[in-house]
Amino acid sequence: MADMEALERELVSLVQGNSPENRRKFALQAKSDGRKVIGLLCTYAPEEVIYAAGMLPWRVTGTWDSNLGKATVYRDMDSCRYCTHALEALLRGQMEFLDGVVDSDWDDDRRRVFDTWVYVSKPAFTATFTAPKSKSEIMERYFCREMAQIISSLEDFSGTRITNDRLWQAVKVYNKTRRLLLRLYELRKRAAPPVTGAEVLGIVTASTVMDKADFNNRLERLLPYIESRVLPHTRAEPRIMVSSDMLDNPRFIEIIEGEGCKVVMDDLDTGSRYFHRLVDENADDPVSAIAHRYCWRPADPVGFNWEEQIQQIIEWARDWRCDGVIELYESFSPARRWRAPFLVRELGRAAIPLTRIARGYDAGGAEQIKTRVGAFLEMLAKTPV
Amino acid sequence: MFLDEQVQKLQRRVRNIEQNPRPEFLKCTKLRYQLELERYLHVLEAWKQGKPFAVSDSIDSILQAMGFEAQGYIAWGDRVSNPQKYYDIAINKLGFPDQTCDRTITALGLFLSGEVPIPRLMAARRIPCDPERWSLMAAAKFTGVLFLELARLNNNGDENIRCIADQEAALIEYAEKSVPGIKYDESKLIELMEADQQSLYYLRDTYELRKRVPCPISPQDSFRLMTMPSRYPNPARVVEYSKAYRDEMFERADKGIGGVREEKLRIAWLATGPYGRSTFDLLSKKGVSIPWFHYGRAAHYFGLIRDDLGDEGKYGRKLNPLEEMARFFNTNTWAGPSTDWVDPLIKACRDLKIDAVVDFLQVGCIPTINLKRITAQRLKEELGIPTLDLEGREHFATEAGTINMNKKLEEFIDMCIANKG
Ligand code: SF4
Repeated sequence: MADMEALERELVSLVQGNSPENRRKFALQAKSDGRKVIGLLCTYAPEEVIYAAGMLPWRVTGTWDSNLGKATVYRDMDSCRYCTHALEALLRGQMEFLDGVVDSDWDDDRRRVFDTWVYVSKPAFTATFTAPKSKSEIMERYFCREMAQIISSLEDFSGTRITNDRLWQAVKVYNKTRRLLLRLYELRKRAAPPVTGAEVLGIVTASTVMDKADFNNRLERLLPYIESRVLPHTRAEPRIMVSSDMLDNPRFIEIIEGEGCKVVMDDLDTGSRYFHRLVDENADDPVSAIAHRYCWRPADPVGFNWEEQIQQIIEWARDWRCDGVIELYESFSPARRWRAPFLVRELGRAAIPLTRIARGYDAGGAEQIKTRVGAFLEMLAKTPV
Repeated sequence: MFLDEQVQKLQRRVRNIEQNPRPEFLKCTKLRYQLELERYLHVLEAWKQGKPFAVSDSIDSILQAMGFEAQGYIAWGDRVSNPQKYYDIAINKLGFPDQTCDRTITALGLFLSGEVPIPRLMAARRIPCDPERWSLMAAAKFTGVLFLELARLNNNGDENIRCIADQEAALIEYAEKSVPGIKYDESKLIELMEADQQSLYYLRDTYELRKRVPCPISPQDSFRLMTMPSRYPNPARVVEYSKAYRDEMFERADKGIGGVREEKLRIAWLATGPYGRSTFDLLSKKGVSIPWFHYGRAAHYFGLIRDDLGDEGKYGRKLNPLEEMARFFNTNTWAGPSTDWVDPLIKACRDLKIDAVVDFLQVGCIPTINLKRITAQRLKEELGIPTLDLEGREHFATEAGTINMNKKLEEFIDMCIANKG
């Protein structure tokens, strides 16, 4: 019994790994171990190469509160809130430990936050790369070359040679993270999942700020306990998939689940899209193998391939037996707004109920989200199975 | 119907110029309108004949070299006379976003209205901006038109040129396989690129003239974008127009004719020209000339970025025609890193003795809105000149909004003139 309580406490601690109080600790620990810490603004950044250089790749999370007084000097309020909250965190001095920042050309606005970042804080190390927006051999070849450039700048910066051996070691660690997270996600297929959607989001985002080897040890230790865990779900609760981008605050999922449903799957770049697809450990060349994984990972709404993105949602919804999909789009996400009519049409054709609800980045506006979720669940309850 | 309306509008404009010539405007503008008119008539005829159309935001020359008729998209949306109609189609009927700029949503509505041809192929790339790309994607995906994308790449250099050229080759192969009668003709592409380059050379000659005080070009003429011969049915005539434009500028400069009656202030205007006559009239009345209109292609067109057809210096080798197109792609400074946008702006402001800058921000324009602070700060730090952020809309400006905007502009102009002494 005592063991169970200790494990539960350990689980809670892991779930809270990316909370405002905790996320810095991992970075500061790495610094005190003599490692450099590199902030990542894009989940397409090939983390393995940074890890192989002996540094800690650390995903940038924005402030979770609503005060944006510093960032709005540089940014319009009607634009991507993740970018604004991330900049706010930087300008408040909450990321003073970062030695560098890496970003991609993910979208026009992210590019601007990177520009401002570099202009204001002049980090010692910066790198940008082309996020693969379509899946083709041409783009993969190019991504490989960009990775080679990043590797060489990292080598210059760190003074460490990033050998193939180091890359393969990093790949093993990262693939292990992916396998463990997949195992966790598989548990959500159960009729009564042993973890909530909010907990899962907490765990995945914790992995983005922790050393992956430490994260792996902790999750591996916890998985047998999670497998045996029983949550007080009622079986009749609808099974929901949440789709969004840059959603890293589990509070949003708690709000949804609080209305009487189980979030059993997600289409998030801080969730399933972050870790799906492994790097081929039997390939000849680690750089090409890593590039291949990032180019062919599940697609994001900013990409060119809307059909594929939506097909992926449909497949996941079927595999995890979701009763409906909630697109919890960030209010100012142009990519999702442009895609919306297409998403509505295609999920309609697949007979998957969908509701689209706007959100901010801090978890304000909870009442509105609750009302909309409540209405959706009510609609699902009336829909004949 | 949109195309007929354009024909009538241009016919009216040509008549107007003939009947009421205005000395402050360039005379060659009449030829420009005639070329536009020819283009719309050509589109109407090609549509009637059932020829295959294609839309792209950047690679018209390649599409034409394959035998497609080039069709406008954003540029056509810019010209509609009843934007509400198209807005209703895109937003109210189909649910596309109302937070984007007027340009992208109106273009989409027009495309879906049935008033323009449905192309066989649409191609977009990651520039000029995301909304433009998404608008094109939405149009294609809603109508089932073949859609192909070319990624603009983040880092410049030889690898970049090769990769874009590979993507272009893949697009050609795909189009040839998918659309009957389509066949890529490389010599045609070279011909079109050469015509474009020739026009560019003429335009560049005028950069020096813009340094003169008074600036020989009127504010309204400053905002007329360069016409690329490759986009017209008769490219040779467009080259003639470019030459006429240059010659006329020289003539005006030699005679000391300014674009405004008494030049009091020299402004660089950013991003998009203002919409509506009242702003031009205000600028003229106040003696404000616009020696520099900074838009995505300006730095290359006017020679601040020298990366031209056939130039072997930059890459240390001769590029093939598709690589040349890629090179051309990359000279666009729009929606890229802030340095791509601000560095040439600073150079132009220094060269052209600019007193102040107006950053014209379209509501919903992502690439500009969150760059404004860096732009203004750098202009202040590096040149000591002030910037006005001016928000405006292309189609849905209210009367009160326009009055407000002009008032803000006027106050800024007055302040700058007073400071200039
Ligand atoms: S106004 Fe801005 S968002 Fe709209 S098409 Fe132009 S660059 Fe794109």
